[in-house]
Amino acid sequence: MKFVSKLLKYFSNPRNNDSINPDNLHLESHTVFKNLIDNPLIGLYIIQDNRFKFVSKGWCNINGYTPEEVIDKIIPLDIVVPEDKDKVRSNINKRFSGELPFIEYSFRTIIKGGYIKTVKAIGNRIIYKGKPAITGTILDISEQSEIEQRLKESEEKYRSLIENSLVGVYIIQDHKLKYANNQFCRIFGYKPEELLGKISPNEMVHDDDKEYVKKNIEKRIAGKDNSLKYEFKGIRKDGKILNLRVLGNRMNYQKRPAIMGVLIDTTELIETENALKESEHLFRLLLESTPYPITVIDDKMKHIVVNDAFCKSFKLTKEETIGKDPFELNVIPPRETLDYVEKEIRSKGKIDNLEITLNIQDIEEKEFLYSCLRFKLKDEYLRLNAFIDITERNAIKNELIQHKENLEKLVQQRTAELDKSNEELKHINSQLENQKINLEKTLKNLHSTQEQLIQSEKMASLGLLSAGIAHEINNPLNFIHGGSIALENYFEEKPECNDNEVETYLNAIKEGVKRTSDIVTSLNHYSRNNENDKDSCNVNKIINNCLAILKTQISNKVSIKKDLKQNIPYISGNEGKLHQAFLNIIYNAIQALQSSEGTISIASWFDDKNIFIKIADTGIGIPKNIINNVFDPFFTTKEPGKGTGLGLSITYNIIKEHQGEITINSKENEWTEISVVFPIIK
Amino acid sequence: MADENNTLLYVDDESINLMLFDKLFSKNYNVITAESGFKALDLMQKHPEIKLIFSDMKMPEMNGIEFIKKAQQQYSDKCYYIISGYEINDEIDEALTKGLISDYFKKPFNMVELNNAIQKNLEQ
Repeated sequence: MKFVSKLLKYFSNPRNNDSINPDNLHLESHTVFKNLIDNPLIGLYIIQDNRFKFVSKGWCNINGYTPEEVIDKIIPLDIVVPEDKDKVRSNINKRFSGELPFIEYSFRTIIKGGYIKTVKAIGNRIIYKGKPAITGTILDISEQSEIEQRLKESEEKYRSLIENSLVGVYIIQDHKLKYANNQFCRIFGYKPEELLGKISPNEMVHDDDKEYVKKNIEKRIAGKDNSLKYEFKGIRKDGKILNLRVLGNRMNYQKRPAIMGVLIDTTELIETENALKESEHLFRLLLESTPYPITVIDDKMKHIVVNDAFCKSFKLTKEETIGKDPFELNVIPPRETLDYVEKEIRSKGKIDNLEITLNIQDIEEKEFLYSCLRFKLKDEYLRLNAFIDITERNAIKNELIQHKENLEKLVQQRTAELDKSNEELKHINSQLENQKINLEKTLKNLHSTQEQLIQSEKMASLGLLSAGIAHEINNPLNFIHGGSIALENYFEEKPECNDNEVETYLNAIKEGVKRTSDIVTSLNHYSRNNENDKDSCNVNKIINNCLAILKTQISNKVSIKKDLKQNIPYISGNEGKLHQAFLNIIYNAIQALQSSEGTISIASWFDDKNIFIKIADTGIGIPKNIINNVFDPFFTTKEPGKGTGLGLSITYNIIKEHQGEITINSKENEWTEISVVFPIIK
Repeated sequence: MADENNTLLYVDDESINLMLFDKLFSKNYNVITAESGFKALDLMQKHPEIKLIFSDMKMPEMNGIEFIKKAQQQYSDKCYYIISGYEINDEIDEALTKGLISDYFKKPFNMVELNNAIQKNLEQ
């Protein structure tokens, strides 16, 4: 090419070419010209009268036409691309006019078939056949142009690439920044115009690394190291310290040594790295310090991570474990558990706290809470397994359950015992209750007995008293009685004094004596309370005695109707007590009448076996609801202190002691009737 | 006038009783009275004809039963009676049961009952 170009220039030189005439070429250097004309790469031509007058073999070769198709036929501008026509016309005109007789330029020509080629033309004005013409050579520079174009494009591309690169790119020469790309400016926080040629790269290095960086730059400039990769601390415009990593290359820039480098801000990277390191450290720490076995297995079930707790629990070393699957390690759960685990993981991607039993090296069985999480890391599915050893816990749990059962049994037993004790206590309690009732009854009876004793004592005292009184009264009565008989006898012996009047008086005395004697006798009877219950008692007599005693108590409004059967049989008993009994009955009858008008009827009769006594009054009667209580000790309707409530009770007891029966009937506000029956003594 | 076979002894510490008894019975019987048991025992010794003895019960020094017990020891062929202002008591009851006394009469005594008893006894 260089040769061709020289040749072209030579031929194109106006001084050399002035006399050149294609027709004369062979005259001067025929061989050379012949070769030149025949050179397929150099196109020679002559234009005159706006037509090609001559084209060489090379021209035809470039343009694809034969000389016959071109000579005097093709207008030169017709085969120039329209964009270049003006340029070519102007250059042709300039050459014709002689303004610029020698012009070198390139244009694009349309070759046969419509293709376009870029050609370089060097033209000159000549006189051809006595007329001005232009001769020129064209060289096909299509290829060259394309390369240039490509280079240009490439440069554009790389420039753009570098300008927009994510790494900082720079050129240092003479201790100055000759070039810095956008990213470099961004890293250091400057605008491009603030940097270039103005700031010494040294100023952008942290004091700590200044010496080191300087040395590195010098080393490269000096050509000791073509390429050097290192890290240093830079300073941003705002003063922030940057961690920078550079890769510098020695290069020639504008024909002098320079350094071109790329630079990465690793500040964030280092921070991230540190954070990662910390995170990993933490992760490791957690992994190794946790008491729970943790493993990570890959999609082929091979262990890729295991912690100490796992090794300890499963009696394996890390070396033994890593890269092996559970089958190889002989820590496999039962088939059904395995199937379940697989199913769960496939469907849910995880398992939470599944209770599993694992055989550990055929030494022991351990129970675990097993959790698994499937996760994706770098296109691979991994599994994170975590185990919680619950063997001991379960053992304790079972023990606790056992204890609980024992306790329950114990409680049941105790409860049963307690129930039994309770039953016994209840029984004892009810016994005690009964005893209490009995005691209360006994106490009541005791009270009753006491009262009766008091009564008896009273009666006994009254008996003694009445006996004494009776004796003292009976003697004077004997005087009166005896005296009256004596008087009677006296008057009988003296007929002159014997008249009715005397007899009347004596009878009055006798009646007085009789009545007095009756009262005294009844008192005596009443007081009789000896232990001898074998008296033969006449109930009529007893009733009469009682009436005599109670005579003063009986109001004159009350009439006593007596219907006592004569010759009534005796009954065996204690006369004193019987008096007391009937005295109480009759006294109650008197009180029932409450001093109002009324009748007390007393009747006695008998049959073969029994003696009957009926004492009735037309008094206030007894309410139905209390009629069953009237024989109870201390039962009284009287105001406190007015009655002991013992009267009918004593009566009842006395009648019973005499094998008798006593019954009571009453209609409230109308009447009361007491019946007594005694067996006859045989 | 009563003969010796109808002799009665009446013992009582009350003189009025003695006087009245004498007045009432001396018409038909020979009545001897004594104001105490001791006196009565003396009189019984002096008058062995005494057939019936009536004694009060309550007397100082010696009561009726005590007196009769003593008298019975010496004169068991005679009839003894108690006439008392008291009601019959255990002591009298026992005396009746043992036959120490033939009967018991209460003061003021009934002339008819007494007469009946005397008559019944004297007829034997």
